[in-house]
Amino acid sequence: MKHVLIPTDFSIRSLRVVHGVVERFGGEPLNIVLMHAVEMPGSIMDLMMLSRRSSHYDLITADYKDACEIIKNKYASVIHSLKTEFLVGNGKGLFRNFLLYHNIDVIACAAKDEFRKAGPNSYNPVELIRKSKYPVHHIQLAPRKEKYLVSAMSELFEV
Amino acid sequence: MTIRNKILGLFTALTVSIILMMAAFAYFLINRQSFDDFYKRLEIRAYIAARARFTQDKDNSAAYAEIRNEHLERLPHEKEYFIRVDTTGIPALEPDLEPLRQQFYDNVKAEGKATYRYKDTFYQGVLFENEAGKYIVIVSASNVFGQQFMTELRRTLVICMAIAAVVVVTTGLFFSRYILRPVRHITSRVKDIRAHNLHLRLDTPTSKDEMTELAQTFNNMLDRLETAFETQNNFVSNASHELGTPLTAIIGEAELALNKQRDDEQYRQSLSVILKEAERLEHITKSLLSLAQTGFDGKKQQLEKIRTDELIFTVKETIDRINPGNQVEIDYTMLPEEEDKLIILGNAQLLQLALSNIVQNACKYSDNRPASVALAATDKNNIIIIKDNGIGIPARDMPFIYDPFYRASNTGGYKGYGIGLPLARNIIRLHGGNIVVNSKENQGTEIRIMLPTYMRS
Repeated sequence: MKHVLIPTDFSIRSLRVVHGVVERFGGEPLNIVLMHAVEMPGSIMDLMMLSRRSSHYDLITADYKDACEIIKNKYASVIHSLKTEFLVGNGKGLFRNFLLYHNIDVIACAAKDEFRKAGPNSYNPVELIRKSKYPVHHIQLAPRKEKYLVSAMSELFEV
Repeated sequence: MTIRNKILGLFTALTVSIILMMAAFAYFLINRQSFDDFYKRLEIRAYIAARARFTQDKDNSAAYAEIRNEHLERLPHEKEYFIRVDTTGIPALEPDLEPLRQQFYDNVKAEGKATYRYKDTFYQGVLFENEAGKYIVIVSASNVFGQQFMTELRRTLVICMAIAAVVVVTTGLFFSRYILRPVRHITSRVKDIRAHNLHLRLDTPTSKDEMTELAQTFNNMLDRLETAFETQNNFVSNASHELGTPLTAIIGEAELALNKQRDDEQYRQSLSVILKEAERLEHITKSLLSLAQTGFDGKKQQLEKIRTDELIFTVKETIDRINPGNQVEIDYTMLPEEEDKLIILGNAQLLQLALSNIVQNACKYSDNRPASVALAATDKNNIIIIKDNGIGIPARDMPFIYDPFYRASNTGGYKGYGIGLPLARNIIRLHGGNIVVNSKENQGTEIRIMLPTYMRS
């Protein structure tokens, strides 16, 4: 049983890292945590309502959910669980706690950083990952084609 | 009973009952107050009368009598009685005091005073005690002024009530009219809208009340109706045009062949043209027929379990037969491991027809450039994605792509009737699925079809 953390920006393309992860670590069951990092809200009201309102859950699109289900169905025997989690806040200690809580063994990210902000509070956790001293596995993705569709499920294909 | 009358009745009943309750309460309070006041006056008279009578001192007695005569006005029917309470405690009764009960005397003896009312006559009894002995002093009088006052009050109240009721009914009338004005407005406006002026809309005031919502709902319905009407009109004109073109060609060719004697070869050529056009006509009528059959007719279709991967494979075979030069690739990379997730309920012939229409379009409008058919399964749906690198659909044509016989503005160089996509959509909807078309002109089209997975229950 291996626990893998993959940073995601909720684009379908970011899910393609999973293919590489399964290819590399597919020998044993995998628990995959897709992590999206958002900044801690600045205003006191947002902070108080953080656990209740959770507006950041709106960032998860229906296409992204479908794509996660597709991947999970494809690697049904290898992927034991595939879940999406939020890292709220920006800090080394916070990230370490997050990794410990989810029992992460290895971090996997795309070789070329193509982060796009999914929401106004999203940030790129690449710096945290670099400083975390966890083993980081880089996965080569096919170069991004000229895309005419904003949210295209077909990005998941053409492995 | 109209809503207006209901509002009027309810409003009147409510308001009048509130006024009635208030008037009754006021009347009751004033009535009690006037009784109390009268008893007080009788009590004072009883004390003064007792003192005037029983005081031993002659001067004092005269003074009391004088005060009484000068300052206390005689009340109507004022009478006074003096009863000596003998040692046994039972007073000697007088005939004028007939209405009084034993209870009254007991109360006087116990509490020092008591009151009693018999018809319009009020009795006030007090206990008086001096050296000569114990006396019960009773003063009786009739409260004529009080009665007059109460009658006056009653009359005033009744008149006020009547006036208030009239006012309430009048305001209620205006009130209900005012409340229901938007409804009457909407009714008269909707009555004006007929088939020939479907573009008319209801006014929607800026206020966010229920009536605005109702008007907007009507407007939305009218939008849909207008669209449906327009679609119908377009369909008829397009259909007659599409059917007319091959007919014109057949008639022209036949006339040309018949107008003079020709050799065999020319007849043969004419006949082959006629045959081709007739075949085209038949193709159009056949597609029209299947379009009509797949439209929602409320009948339950015979459904069977189908595997989507096999379905796509059959479609690919069909395309290979019709169009050998196609470059359609089937992308199985996202297939789920469990085969159960690929089973859907449906009619295989219809689904093949729908998919092959779409895939054929992908080949046709991209001049046989590579196209892909991908299959994947989420937990609830099977997703089929058909992607091509063809001419795409211009954004301005997107709203009409499901209209029968509608063809996008950039399809001039390709043969087609504009029936395939509407037919495919009808079939997909029939299976409880959904079809989404994403496209950009000159770059390509991506069609995503979602069909619900069969759940063993």
